[in-house]
Amino acid sequence: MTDAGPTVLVLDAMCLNHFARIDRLDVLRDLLVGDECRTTYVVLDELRTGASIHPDLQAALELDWVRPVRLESLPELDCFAKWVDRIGAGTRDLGEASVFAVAELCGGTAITDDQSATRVARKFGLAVHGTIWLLCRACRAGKLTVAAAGNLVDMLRATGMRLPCTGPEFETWTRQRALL
Amino acid sequence: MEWSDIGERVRECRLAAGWSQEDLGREVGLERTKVAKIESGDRRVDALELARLSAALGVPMSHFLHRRPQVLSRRAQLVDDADTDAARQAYRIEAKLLAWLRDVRQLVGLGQLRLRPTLTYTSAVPDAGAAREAALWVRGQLGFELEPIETLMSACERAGQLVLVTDLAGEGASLIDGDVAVAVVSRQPDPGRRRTTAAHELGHMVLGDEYSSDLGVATSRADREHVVDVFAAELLLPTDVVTKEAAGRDPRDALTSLAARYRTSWSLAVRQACHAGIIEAGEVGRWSSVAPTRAELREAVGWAPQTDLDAVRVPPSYAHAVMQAWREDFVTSDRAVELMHGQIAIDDLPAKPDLEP
Repeated sequence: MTDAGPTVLVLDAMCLNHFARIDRLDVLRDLLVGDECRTTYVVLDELRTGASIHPDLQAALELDWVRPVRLESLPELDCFAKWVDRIGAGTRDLGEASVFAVAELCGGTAITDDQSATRVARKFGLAVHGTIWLLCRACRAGKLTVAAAGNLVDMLRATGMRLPCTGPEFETWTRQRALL
Repeated sequence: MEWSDIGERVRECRLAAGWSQEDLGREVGLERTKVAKIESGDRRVDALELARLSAALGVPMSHFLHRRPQVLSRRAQLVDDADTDAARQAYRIEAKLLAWLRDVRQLVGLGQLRLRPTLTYTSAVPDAGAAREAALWVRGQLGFELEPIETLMSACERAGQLVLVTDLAGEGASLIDGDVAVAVVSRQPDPGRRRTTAAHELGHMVLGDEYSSDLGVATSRADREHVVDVFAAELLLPTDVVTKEAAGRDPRDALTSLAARYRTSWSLAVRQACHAGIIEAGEVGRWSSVAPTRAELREAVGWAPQTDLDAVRVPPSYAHAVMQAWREDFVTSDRAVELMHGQIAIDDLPAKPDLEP
């Protein structure tokens, strides 16, 4: 594993959603300094819908460091529809499919914590990682301490985010997998 | 595809739904003028708008983005697309059939589903007599001879036609697109009717009809539909079986037993009895009105459970291909459930081990 991160990260709703709900979007921005961050209008629409239940999500709609992509040419729409045929047509599936389409079209890395979608995207050769990977990358780059990463994990889990380890387990769990 | 083609597809779907441009605009959050521009090809749609149009109009996104099979394009030029209930219904059935065709093609493309060659009757079938011969030929090819066909879903699959049982505005439709033969059958009518519809669509395939829909059939096609109906009746319940079963028995008892064992509608059994000479042509109406009760039918088969084209919505080889595609991570759990069309729910899929983050 190298610490030279990818230049383009395409963020799914889940990561933005939970960082917004713990009021740490500024922390997420600092962790991703140096990366070009994108998302899609399909993801923003999902977040907008969620904002009616969790008003905190409104902040995730106004980020100047995440560029939303529209997917509007015919080849882009074909690519989106191709991913919908693999991921599904449910509301959350559409967001993931749009993220994978953008990642494929720009050669970027998709960021999602949906395991089922990640398996399929990797099967088709896409670079896909989750929030734990982002945190480890930031730790390796000296942008975040392991203790702070563990705190973030617990805060994110408290909002219902499905992560594979708890805060106290973070260091052992990630070292066992050579992520730190 | 060009933007004007996509616009035309949106217009067709909107008309099939019976909506004005304003109605559609309200559903997808666009002004009427924008809908008009999309339909004329003067305004592009983005991924979010395409997803909203797809959800509102009840068709997959690919419906807007892909060309129709040639047989349907040719048909579209022949049929008057007057905005009638029948035309709207026919379009919605066609859209379901195309979506099913794309599901099948996706699994074939992933290398998970192998298509069987389609069973085609090569002799001419100009009349009812020839249709009965064709049906008996199919029975012979599939090894049924004169025995009941337990599951029509499997019989159609073995004949090379993949059937989907789904919610439809009509009874059924079928299509041959190159090496793929598909049919959709409504799950609304009773099981006997569903089996008749499936047998009817199989008849269209075996007799070489590239496309059929049970709606919007022009008068010139009525003769053909009659021939295919005869094929379906003979396939489900051969006349010879009726003749043998009824010999020396009370005709109603014999027909009740046959309708139960061969799992046909009562009216089909009565029609076959008429052809076998057991019931006079003038008596068919009276006989049809005295259908056996559910208890009588179940008594006739020893109360064994009788389901076909009910809990089973997709062909066995297709269901296996979906599971295989899911196991190998070609599709997500959500998509696998979509591809199964209600045959399984998400909780029916086993858990997979955790991934590296």
